[in-house]
Amino acid sequence: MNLLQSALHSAQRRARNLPQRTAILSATGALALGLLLSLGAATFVSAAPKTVSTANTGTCAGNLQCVIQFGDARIQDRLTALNALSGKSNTQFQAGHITSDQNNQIQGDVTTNQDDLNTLKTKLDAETDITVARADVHNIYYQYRIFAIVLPRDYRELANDVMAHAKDRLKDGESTIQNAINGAPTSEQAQLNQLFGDYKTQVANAESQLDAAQELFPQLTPQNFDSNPASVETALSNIRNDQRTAHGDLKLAVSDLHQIRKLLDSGKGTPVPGSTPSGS
Amino acid sequence: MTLHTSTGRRASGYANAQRSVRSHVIWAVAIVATGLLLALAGCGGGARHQGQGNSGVTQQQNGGGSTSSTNNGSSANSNPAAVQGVDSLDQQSQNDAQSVDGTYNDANVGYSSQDTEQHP
Repeated sequence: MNLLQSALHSAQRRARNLPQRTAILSATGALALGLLLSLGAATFVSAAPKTVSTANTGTCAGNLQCVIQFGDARIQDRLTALNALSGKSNTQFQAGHITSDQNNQIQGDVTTNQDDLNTLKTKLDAETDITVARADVHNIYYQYRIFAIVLPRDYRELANDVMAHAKDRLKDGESTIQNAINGAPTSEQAQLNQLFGDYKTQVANAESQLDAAQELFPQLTPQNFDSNPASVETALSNIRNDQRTAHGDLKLAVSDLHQIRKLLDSGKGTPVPGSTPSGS
Repeated sequence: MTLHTSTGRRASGYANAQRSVRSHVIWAVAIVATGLLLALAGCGGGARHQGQGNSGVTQQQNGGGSTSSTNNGSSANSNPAAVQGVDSLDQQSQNDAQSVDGTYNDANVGYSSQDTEQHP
């Protein structure tokens, strides 16, 4: 009898706990499934090629005009940024810090991209299909790579050109400095020669760094960025490091020169009759 | 009296002769001194012409027509034109350095955030 009652209680307990267990199991299953789905989705997003989103899930939902206005604003961001680059390059050219060829190369790149973006804007503004309009917006990012490649590359090129100009001037002045040191009082020549030795070393180092950077620029294209972004990022990183070092070298050379000048000026004294201009 | 006078005359003639000799000696010394001075000046000029001047400077003609001076102990720079060239180079380089800093800073601006695609 007791045995029968015990078996009955046990069955009742199982019967009472059954919904609870089912609920726990269901919740656990749902949680696991959710995790799996989210992991799968994340994997898909990262591995999938960057394709245009055509679904009406963006901020504009199904509003075509909203998509067009959004795209126009992104195009304008790029046109403004390209204009700024153009102005800075012209400023350096007018100051004589870059050559006309160097300026023309940047201006040409700016004009080409501005023309392409304006063509895209005309197309986008005329779209009647929101899916096609979204594809146009996608191309603003992925076809021209203005912020990813064009501006970083062109600003780096401008910096390289300006640094190369500064380096050339310092290098060309070496014979003048040497002549001035030769004419300095003997008591000052040791210090002057020490500064001049470091000056020449810094100028030579800057030159090699700038040359190394210059060779990497052809790798920085939107096409390469799409086909092999890692190699483009490596090239950009190497250019960044080369320019950082060259910038430091040039600053040290300019500092050496300034100290040389101060020493020379302190011992300038009375001009020697009969001496003629030298190397200036 | 006559003798005395005669003696007086002789004495007066001797004094005149002495003055005359002195005058000639002075003139001779003056001429020799002038000659020596002229000779010394000539030597100094010749030495400078050969490259060694009074200021302790040696000058050499460079191939390009410019002159490189070597200071042999003077407290003044023997090539002020080169010093002026260094002054000018320093000023230009300070100007270049500002452009270098400006363009270098522009190149370091990050644009990656603006390249992240947004979906309208």
